[in-house]
Order: sequence, then C-alpha cells, then structure tokens
Amino acid sequence: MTKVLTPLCRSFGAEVLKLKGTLALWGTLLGPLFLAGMNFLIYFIHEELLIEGGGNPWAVLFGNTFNIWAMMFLPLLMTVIVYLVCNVEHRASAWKHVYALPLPRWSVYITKYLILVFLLFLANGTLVLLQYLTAFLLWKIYPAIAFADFAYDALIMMSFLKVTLASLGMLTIQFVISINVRNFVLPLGLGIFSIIASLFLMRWEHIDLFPYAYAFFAGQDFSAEEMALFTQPVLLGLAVSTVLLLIGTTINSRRDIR
Amino acid sequence: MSPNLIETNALDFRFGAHQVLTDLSIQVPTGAIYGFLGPNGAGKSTTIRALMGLYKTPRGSITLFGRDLRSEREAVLQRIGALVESPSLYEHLSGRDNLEITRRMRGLRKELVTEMLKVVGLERDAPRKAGTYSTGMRQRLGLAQALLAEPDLLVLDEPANGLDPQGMRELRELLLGLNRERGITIFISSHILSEIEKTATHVGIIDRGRLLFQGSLGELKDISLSSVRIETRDAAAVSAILGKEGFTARSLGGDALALTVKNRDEITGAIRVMIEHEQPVYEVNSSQKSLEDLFLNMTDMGGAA
Repeated sequence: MTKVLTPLCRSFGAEVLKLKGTLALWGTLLGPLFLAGMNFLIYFIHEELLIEGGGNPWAVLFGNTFNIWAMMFLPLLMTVIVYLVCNVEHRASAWKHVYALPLPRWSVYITKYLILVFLLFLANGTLVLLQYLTAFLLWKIYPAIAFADFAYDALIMMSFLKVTLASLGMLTIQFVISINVRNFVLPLGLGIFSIIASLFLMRWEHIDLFPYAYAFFAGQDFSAEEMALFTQPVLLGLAVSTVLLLIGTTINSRRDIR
Repeated sequence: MSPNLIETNALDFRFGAHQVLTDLSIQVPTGAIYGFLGPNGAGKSTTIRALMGLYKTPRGSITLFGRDLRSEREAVLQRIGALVESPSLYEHLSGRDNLEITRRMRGLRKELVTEMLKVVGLERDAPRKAGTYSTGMRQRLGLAQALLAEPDLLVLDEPANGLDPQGMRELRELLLGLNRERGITIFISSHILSEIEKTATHVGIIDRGRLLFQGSLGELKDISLSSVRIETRDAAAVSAILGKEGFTARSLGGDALALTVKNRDEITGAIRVMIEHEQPVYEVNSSQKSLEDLFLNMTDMGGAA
C-alpha cells in the first residue's frame, strides 16, 4: 500500500505548490464568481422572476445556472484550466526533471490528473457556495422571495455532484491531449470545437453519447428532479475517463521524455 | 561490486531513422569526475537521458551502483541528482518554492532547501520568482535541485552553458569540493574541453554517437604528446646517443633536436640518458598539441580550421 500511497502523496504535495498564484487556480475561482455574479445581477434587477407564480425560487435560480454552466461554461473553463495546468510543466521543460526523480512515472501522471479533478470539484463547489450566497443576499434584499418555503438542498447537491462526475469524460480527453502536446492549438482548439459541436448537435439522437455533452445531460436531471446518482451521463463520464486514463498512463510510462 | 559506478554496455538508440547512439559502452569509476566530451549533437544529452531512464534504449544495458537501471529504476534514481540540459524551473514560483517542489517529490527533510540555497549562494534571491533570475542564477538553482537529495552521483549536462568566467570558476570549485569532501562521483558533459580539463579525472569523448576515447586525463595527455624539442650543445651527437638507446630522435640542426615520444615518462628517460652521457640539457619544450587540438582532431571539428 505504501508503494502506491507514498509516491502519490509526495507528488500531490508538489502539485499543490505548483498551483500557487497560477491563472489556473484563479480561473477556477473566478469562473464561478462571474456566473454567480451575473445571476445575482439578473435577479437583483428582475426579482419578480423569482416571486411570480408562487413557484419554487430555488428551481428557477439553479435551473438557469445548471443550463449555462453544464452546457458551456464548465466545459470551456475546464478546457482552459487543463491546458494551463499541463502547460506549467511544458513551459518549465519540467518533464525531464520530474521523470528523473525516484518516483514511478504513473504516480506523477496520476497526481497531475488528480489535481485537475480537485480543481473540477473546486469550481463546482465554489459555484454552489456562491449560488447559495446569491440566494441569501436576494432573500435579504427581497424578503418576498420564498426561499424558506422549499427544501431543495439535496437535489441541488446531488445535481452538482452529477455534473462534476459527468464532466470527467471531457476533462480526461483534454488531459490526455494537453499533457502530451506542447502547443496550445490542439488542446484548446479541440475543446472549443467539441463544445460548440455538442451545442449544434443537440438534436442528434446520439448526442447523449458525446463526452462534451455529458455534463449538460447530468444537469438536466435537476429539472427532472432525478435523485439517482448513477444516471447514464455520470456512468459514461466515469467510464470514458477510466479507460482514457489507463491508456494515457500506459503510453506515458513507455514514451521517451524529451 | 564493480568499481564502476556507471556502466553502459553496447547502448543503441535511434530517433526514427536517425541513429543517435551506436554501441556505446562507458565506464565511470566510483569517485571520479568524468568529463563527457563531444561536439553539439554528438549524443551527449541522449546518453544522459538514457542514464536517467528518460529514454528507453532498445539494445544494451545500463548499470548504476551495480544495479540494473531498468529493473531497479527508483532505487537507482534515489541516489542520483541530475541537471539535464537547461534547468527545469517554474518561473511563476520563487527559487525556494522551486526547490521545495523537488524536496516534496523526493520526500526529503525540510532543512535541506535552506542548506542547498546556501551551497549555491542563492539565499538572498530565494524569495524572488525564478522567472526574474539571470542565466547564471537559473543554472545555480538547477544545480541546487540536483544536489538537494545529497546524491552519490551527480549528473550534469553542460552545466557551464551561459555562465561567465567567474561563474564557471565558482562551478569548478564547487564541483571539486563536492567530489573531494563528500566523495560524490560526478558525470559532467561539455562541448568545450578546457571547461572540464581542470576538474575531470577521467574523460570520455563521443562523436556521432560513438565513443572515440575513454580513459584518465593522464592517458588523454599521453596521446596528445607527439614530440618534444630539446636544446643541447651538439644535437647531432645527442640524437645518435638517444638512437642507440632506443629513442626516436632527430637533429633539427645546430643545438636543437626533436624527440618522438609515446608517453610522458619517455621524456624523463631520454633526459636521464643525456645526463648519463654528460650532455647538457638547456631547454625542454613539449611541442604537445593542446588537448583542445587533439579533441578537435578526434571529433573532426578541426577539419575546417
């Protein structure tokens, strides 16, 4: 067990330090802030959207977020963050140094991936927190909004978890490319192209199999009030990421490090 | 255990169709400072990458500390500190944080970071971002990364690149100190012989992926010795005496003669013969080709000159 955990812990400690002051870390925090801030402004100006009809204000506030966030914002954000995190190594020509250290190659590779999974959770967690903060502020400003009348926390948490897990599919694709390709055109180009393609192909009958659309479908479960965790997009996201990560790790252990 | 700390046996390596290393067998004795010389593109960096397990060589074996690199990679790397080509620095982090990353990955004690910053003279600049460092400072930080684990073997790939004469001298003194005081074996590559002539105990010369020479610095100097000019009173008579004693000498006319030697000891021998025959020795000039010339000849770099 220590043969697995020791190198992972050592490498992870180093990865955390590498994030210090990076655009990747700031982006992870500022991306959600941007979206939550816009949400706040919309409902600050049009608070009636949350009051009229006597419906569930949580469903309106979060439903809007899940759509934009899961369909476009999160995949775009993660495409950029994955690129930035991998580029830290490319820019420092660090692979030759890192892989000459007495750590198994797979451990370095996996911790790099784990730090991205951590950032993915951080981005989603930050958005949840900021959304709750938005709800709280709106409720203070407009006590007429009936936030207190509905208990929706479990569904919100579950839906965020599902969006996060379903995103692992596209995250891993971007990771496997960004870590192997030094230039930015391929990873960023492929990410952006795929996200736009997933928007265009929404009516395609097999779009639910396209990794860049998993998060969107996972987010749809919120409106459908689906509480089960392992729905199709989540399972697909986990499956795609597991397979790709295994392939990536194998290639990485064999390749020559320039 | 073998007295050699590094041993490679018939290494081959190619990039696609381009053969980079051919049948490369090097032996680095424990405790040596091994200068690995060759022109740019000779295969020095490729060899170093193979030694660090970064390149997988399809043929041949690499043994370090008597252990096979392939089967005991981590145990071997544990005892090596390396600077492969230019230092790998995270420019957005301070010099100290850069060392801290290597420390964490190796699981070393915390105090080593401060100690190594002191060894390379970067204590004052440690809080500054590595991106603001000069070439010399970057090089020293890279060296600190390599030294951090208190290795038994230090592998340095052209560490003098970009250093000014002062920096080169400091590097030389640092390396000599590490070798003498801590017994660290040092493998250092360079494309300029004079850079390592003053530090190296052993030399390997590589060109186009093949090893052309390997041996101690003394052996290299012997090769470079071809003839010695001796001034005496009667060159013709002395040449005859030396000839009878088995030396190859010829008079250059007047008071000078040229003695052809294979090694440095032959010079002593010839002078002893002259003194035994009561011939004066006014001056001995080794018309030794400089090591640099020899190196250039060996590697064909002198062809154009």
